[in-house]
Amino acid sequence: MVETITPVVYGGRARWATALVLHVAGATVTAGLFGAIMGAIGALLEAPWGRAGAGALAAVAGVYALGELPRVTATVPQMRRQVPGWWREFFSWPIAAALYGAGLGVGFLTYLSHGTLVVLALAALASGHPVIGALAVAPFGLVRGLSAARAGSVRTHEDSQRLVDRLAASPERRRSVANGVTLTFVAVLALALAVRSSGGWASFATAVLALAFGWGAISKSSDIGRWRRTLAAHGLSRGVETTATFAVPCAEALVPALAAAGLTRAAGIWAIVLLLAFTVEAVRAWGRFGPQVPCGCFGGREAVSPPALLLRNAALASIALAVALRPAPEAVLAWPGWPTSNEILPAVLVIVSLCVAGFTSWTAIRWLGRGTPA
Amino acid sequence: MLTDLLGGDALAASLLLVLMAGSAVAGWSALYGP
Repeated sequence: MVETITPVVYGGRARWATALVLHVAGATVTAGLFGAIMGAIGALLEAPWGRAGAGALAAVAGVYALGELPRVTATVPQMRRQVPGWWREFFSWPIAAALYGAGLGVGFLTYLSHGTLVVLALAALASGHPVIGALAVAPFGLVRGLSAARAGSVRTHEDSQRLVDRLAASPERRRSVANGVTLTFVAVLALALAVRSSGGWASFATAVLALAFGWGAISKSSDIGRWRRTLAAHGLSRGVETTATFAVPCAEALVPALAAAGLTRAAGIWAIVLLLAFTVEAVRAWGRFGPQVPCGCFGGREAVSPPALLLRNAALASIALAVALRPAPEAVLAWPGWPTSNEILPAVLVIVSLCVAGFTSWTAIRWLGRGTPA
Repeated sequence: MLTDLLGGDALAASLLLVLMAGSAVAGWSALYGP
């Protein structure tokens, strides 16, 4: 990636310096924004979650710290995408530099070799505070963007390739030690916070359930083609398959919506109903086609072994039961009531504007993510 | 400033500082990826 922000690409050091500033700004803004969004989602889900939240952070940081040891691997969720090359030809150089930075700021969209960003995202979520979330994640974008300064001495395309080769060949050990030490510190401090805190188990269970079903809905609707292929492998009738394409993600999205509205009993019961339906369908598909049928549960393409899927659904059902039985919290999202006669027009304008803004953002993200210009 | 943001909690502020350092380490590590 570093080869895209070099003096040779930008035609001189003065332009390159401006491009670097824009690149760093783009990466810092999107990383900070990602952290802030995680903090806001946490706030919607009653974070911070007391001892439960701090304990979970300590556990995840501990697992990824162990993952930095030689011959130990901890899976890091990532999309392994690269910023499209056509941006450089299509956009003016200042916009392209800022966009390249922006694309790198949300690290999960790109390649990640260490689990530190997962821990940071969880910490931002558990903080339940957008500012704290932004503060925790923004340095990732800042330093990742600034790293392009390494290309300052590049004079030719050959220099650029040599730099890429040198970076790729540099030993992993130094980075593993740095990430491992930091993650160990995070685990120790989060553990101390967990010991000092109390409670939070019910709200944490609600958040886990809401996030699991929210992730299921997002992964299906963001790659509807893959979800369709998964459904096709189940051999359902045409009508059921078409209905399920849209009904399942909507039904899953209802769980986090109910949880954020403070309707935890309804969220828990609805989650149990969905888990029962999913389990019955999985058992039916296995009986007919064998265990290689993909479940498509969280956007994965691989088939899940029957015992693992049953165990996972049973674990989620236990959490859902705990959520259904907990005392209802105060709603974070509440319906403000019907607008009065003189509020109808502003309300309609706000709703329409939000829909247009949402559609425009979605279209822009899809278009920018394409491998070739439209 | 961090302790003010975290309600005067020194332990939580220390955790946030370590997270920010970890964030910088993660950003630096990502330079070596594709």
